[in-house]
Amino acid sequence: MLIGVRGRGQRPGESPTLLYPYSLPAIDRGLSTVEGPEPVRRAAATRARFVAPIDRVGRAGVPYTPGQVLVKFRDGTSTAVRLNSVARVSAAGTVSERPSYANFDVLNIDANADAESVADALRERPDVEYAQPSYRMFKRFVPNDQFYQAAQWNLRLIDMERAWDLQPSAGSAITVAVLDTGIAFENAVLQFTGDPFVDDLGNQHSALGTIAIPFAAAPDLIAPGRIVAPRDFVFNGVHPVDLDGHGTHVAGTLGELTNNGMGLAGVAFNVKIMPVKVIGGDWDGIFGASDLGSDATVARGIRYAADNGAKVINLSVARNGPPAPAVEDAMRYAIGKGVFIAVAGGNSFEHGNPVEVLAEIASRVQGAISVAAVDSTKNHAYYSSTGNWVEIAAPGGAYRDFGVAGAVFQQTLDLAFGLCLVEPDACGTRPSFDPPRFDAFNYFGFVGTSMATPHVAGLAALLMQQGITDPAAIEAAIKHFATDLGAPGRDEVFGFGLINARDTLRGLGLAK
Amino acid sequence: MSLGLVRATSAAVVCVLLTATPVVAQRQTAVRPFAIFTVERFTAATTFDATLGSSFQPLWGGGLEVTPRNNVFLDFTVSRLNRHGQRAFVDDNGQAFQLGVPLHASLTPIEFTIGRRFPIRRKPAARRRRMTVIPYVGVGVGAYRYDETSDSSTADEDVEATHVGFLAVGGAEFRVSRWLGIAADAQYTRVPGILGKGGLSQRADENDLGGIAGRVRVILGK
Repeated sequence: MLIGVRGRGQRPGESPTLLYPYSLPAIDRGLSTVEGPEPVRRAAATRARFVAPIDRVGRAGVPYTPGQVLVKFRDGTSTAVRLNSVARVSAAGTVSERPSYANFDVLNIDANADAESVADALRERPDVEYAQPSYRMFKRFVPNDQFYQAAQWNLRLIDMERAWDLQPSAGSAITVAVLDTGIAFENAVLQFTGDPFVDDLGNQHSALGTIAIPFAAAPDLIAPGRIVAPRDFVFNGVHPVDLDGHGTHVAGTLGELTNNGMGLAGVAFNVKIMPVKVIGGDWDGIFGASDLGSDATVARGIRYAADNGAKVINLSVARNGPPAPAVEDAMRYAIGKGVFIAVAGGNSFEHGNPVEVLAEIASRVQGAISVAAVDSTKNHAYYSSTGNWVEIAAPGGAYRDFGVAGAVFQQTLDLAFGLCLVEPDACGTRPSFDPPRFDAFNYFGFVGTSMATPHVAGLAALLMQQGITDPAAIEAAIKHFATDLGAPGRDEVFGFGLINARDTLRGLGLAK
Repeated sequence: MSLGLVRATSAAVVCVLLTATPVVAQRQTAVRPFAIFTVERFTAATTFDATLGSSFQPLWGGGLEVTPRNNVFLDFTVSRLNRHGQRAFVDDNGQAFQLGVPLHASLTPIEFTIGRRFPIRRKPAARRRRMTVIPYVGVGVGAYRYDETSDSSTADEDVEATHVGFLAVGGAEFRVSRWLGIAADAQYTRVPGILGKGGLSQRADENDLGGIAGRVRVILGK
């Protein structure tokens, strides 16, 4: 834990000076196998008209097109022999004109006939090379991102691949505000003035003085035109850069660039992102931020996001203690402007499990939803707070029993160049102290309800683009389609259950 | 119902229309084919509004009416609703949101009605001047086949269901000529067992696939 010592840092409320609006290219350090910080540390803070015919289902449960068998006769088989073979397996069977780009014929049989049996009978015949029903194909979008298959259990857990099939645009019309520690969203060199401080091993460090610090946009998160109206309420400026890694990681789960052959994927990978910095990390403190995150910064951030076009707010911050009427008022204001809010349910289960104030507000306000965390086996994540305020669950990951493989991976700042400098204990090493840099990135596994929340915010963005524009209706839909976990019905651990992205986007038919 | 069955049914109706019993031969038992157009206002209004855009839906079909004697009639009708729509969601306040996922729904009622006609007897002079009007009422049962499929659905997510329903009908037949009558009536149907077990109908607490229909029949024969 950082103990800040006020010295000659930034004057309170003073934003860093932009020295250069560019910097050297970002450094991508690949996939990290190091566990991130424990989550408790963060707790303070013209459709097509095509409709498929009703399929028949084969013996193996695979659907096929009724009334058709694909058959390839051996070369040299005469027409008479072909017709004879067809007549022997299906009295009503007819062979239609061979379709283009096919080396097989299509045998039309009665729609109610068992095509697999007909195919079996055809295969018995010496003049038939193969015969099969025309099994139904389904589109399957599986991102080609480098570490997707190996690392992102969390997206498969909520049936994200089939959800993307339903909405390939992945929220391109929606702006999501990430109210957090900022986001690594720009290439720039910023000037800060560092205070002296004591690291979490008790080592005293002298003031850094005025230094130029390089920043880079996270290469697997930021694309041209993606960032909307950035705002910093920690330094009161327009450069809400991330000096911590938390916000960039959260933004990655929400919208990491996907299917780009690089790194990892995100839930709503085409949304526009509004970085709103409402909470600071250790370096923000060292650099003299006047407010490292409070009801005031969060409330102002919510109102700012609502007034500047955000349709979804991700709030992966939390606190315990007295009520927060200023935040509640801001949340109601934003929802009144059509903004849906996803709020972290808290990571304090093993620390007395106190009431989580923001999550409790969300549970009372239609249009905001509080999010608990599950691990990769859909069980309660050991840190995830429980209570009657929990409304829904999403993958938050867990190190315990799973190691780093059980975490939620996204690209974020390489902690060795930032966080580890002031929290050597958290990183397991004690590197020598140097000025930080925020232009190096790594794919880190974090755990926490902070990580669970952007799954829900991303789903809300997709749902909003899908057609549900009312925040309360989005909340109702997410709850309705959740996969019930734990005790039947709503409970204090999982709320209504684990979000199901595909079912939520697919909605309801008349009878099913 | 398959397209082939629809075609076969249509062909049969046409054949029967062409071979309708002449008026002079109908004094004992008359067999009268008819074509029917129906506009039904489905009871599950929220469900139909949300997915198909309206709770008022058209059905087309045909059938046979048999009048054995004494103005008792038996009526056999096959009709069909065939519509494209979208999957949807209805929030807690009943507001519907369409989600752009294509949906196809079809309903095939096969209905049997028994009823009584009440011919209005007029003096011979009046009979020449006015159109003959024959009010009728009836009750019946039907087998209602419902199919639903969606783009992206898997086989177990499609719906194929048939359930028995009940109906009551009342209206009047207007004799246009000796060979042609036009009947207009209102029919109430109740079809439990298909809606209300899942989907929007369950969320909207609607379990009746019936409704109130306005029907027009073009009847060949006396």
